[in-house]
Amino acid sequence: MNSNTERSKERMLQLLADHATEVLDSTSATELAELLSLHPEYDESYFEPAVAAIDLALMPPSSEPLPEGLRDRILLDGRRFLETDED
Amino acid sequence: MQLQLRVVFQQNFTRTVECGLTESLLQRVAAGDTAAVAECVDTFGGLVWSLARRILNRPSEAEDAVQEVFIALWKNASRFDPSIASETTFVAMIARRRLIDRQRRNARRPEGEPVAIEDLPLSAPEEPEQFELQDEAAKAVAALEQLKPEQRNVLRLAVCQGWPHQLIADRLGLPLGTVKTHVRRGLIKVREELAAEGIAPSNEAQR
Repeated sequence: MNSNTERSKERMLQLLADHATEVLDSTSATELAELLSLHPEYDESYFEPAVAAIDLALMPPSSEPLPEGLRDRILLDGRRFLETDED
Repeated sequence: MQLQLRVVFQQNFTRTVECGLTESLLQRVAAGDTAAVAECVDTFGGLVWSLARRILNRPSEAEDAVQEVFIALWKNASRFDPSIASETTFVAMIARRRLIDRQRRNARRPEGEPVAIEDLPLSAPEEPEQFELQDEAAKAVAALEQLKPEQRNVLRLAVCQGWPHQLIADRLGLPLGTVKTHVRRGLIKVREELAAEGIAPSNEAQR
């Protein structure tokens, strides 16, 4: 692998890491899209399973239950989604 | 083989169908199963709510965000691929993306005092069955333990606190480039650890 390819891959990995932990500005998002087109074996969700795993690992042992009423609203959304999806 | 392991791994979250294969909750949602929607909310509601409360400070905003996350989950349920991540990790991925987008959209900076590094646990939760996080979480912990303390701290603040890299640099007195490098290298390490166990696809597998 030549040095230009190495550099572009390293830059792409940095932008993928930024994307997984922050929202990229439009310039960086465009740059990432261009780099991904050069390295099709990667995609923009490349680091997201790792980020989610870290978050789950460090999450406090107990979690708060959903607030009263929120569960019902989510279920209503779900029913509406499935009805719309069937149409 | 992997599927059989998943059956054991996800026994609380899957059901056996006639052909002997299992359908995950998300696959059932994608197939239009109304009961799966309710099961999904009951299984992952606490997880999503916890993430929302951590990343967004106001409870009312967190409630709106959780509704938004679940709508995104229904829409993306068909994209769930158990060969890439467990359902829990998939849900956390969708939730994190929405929550971080919302946090940035509001252009809000974290409120209150930063969480002391030593207050953040570096171990898998004591009740792992709660979120079905055995595989990925254990591997993430193993990878995090191999990082230098400064790298680990930066990664924790970026991932768990949802802090922008510039804020981490300001609070820790590090150059922004160093913060970004710590995040990148830390994520590469965790990803390698997951790929070694076949949890996330390796680069080679993706080619």
